[in-house]
Amino acid sequence: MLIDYGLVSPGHLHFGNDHDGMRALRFVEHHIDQLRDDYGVRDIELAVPTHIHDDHVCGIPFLQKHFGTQCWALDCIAPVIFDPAAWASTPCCFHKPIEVHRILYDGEAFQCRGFDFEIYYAPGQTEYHAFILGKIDGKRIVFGGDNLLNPQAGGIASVIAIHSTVMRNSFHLEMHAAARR
Amino acid sequence: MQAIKPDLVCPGHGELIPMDALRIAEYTDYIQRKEAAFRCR
Repeated sequence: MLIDYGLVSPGHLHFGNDHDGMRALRFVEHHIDQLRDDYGVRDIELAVPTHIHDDHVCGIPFLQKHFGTQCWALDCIAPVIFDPAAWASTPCCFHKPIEVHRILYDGEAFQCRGFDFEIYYAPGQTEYHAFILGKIDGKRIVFGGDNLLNPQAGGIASVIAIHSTVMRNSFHLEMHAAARR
Repeated sequence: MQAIKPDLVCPGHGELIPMDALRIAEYTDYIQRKEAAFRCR
């Protein structure tokens, strides 16, 4: 199971408008060899995206093509990644439709290979965003996507989790309270 | 976040962030202050 499978590094991000140039967004396979060689992972059965943004989901069609990977997604995320053409005004959608095999709902629990997970609606960086809680080796680990960022790169020295807000990404005031609860 | 009470956060970019009650409070306080700022309270 992978939570998100997108770009390998920020160097692949496409910030400009040069859609035909070298900096255009392009997915490159990554970490599959390492997972196989170092951890014996032969198959990727499931991918669960934290949110709709292209840098987090653009590798999922590759997984589906080569591994037959299922995609499970929160109910607000699924329609966007399944039919991105219908969401053309929503920033940072990935242009290829992603087949979604199971729709998950806010607070729903699910299992993968004996591990327990829960998914929660958590808007912020975009309205279409989830927190995924995994109970792994006795720890509660939240996969926070881009709603939980360590802002060290922004010049803040301490390691803290901050809630991101991007006004262009369908911002609503209610996002704050929903992420805090 | 208050209900989930994570021990660790795996952000979308960057390294793992250890969490405890203080850091969860810090996170939610940040949201509280941000909401207050947006609503001009």
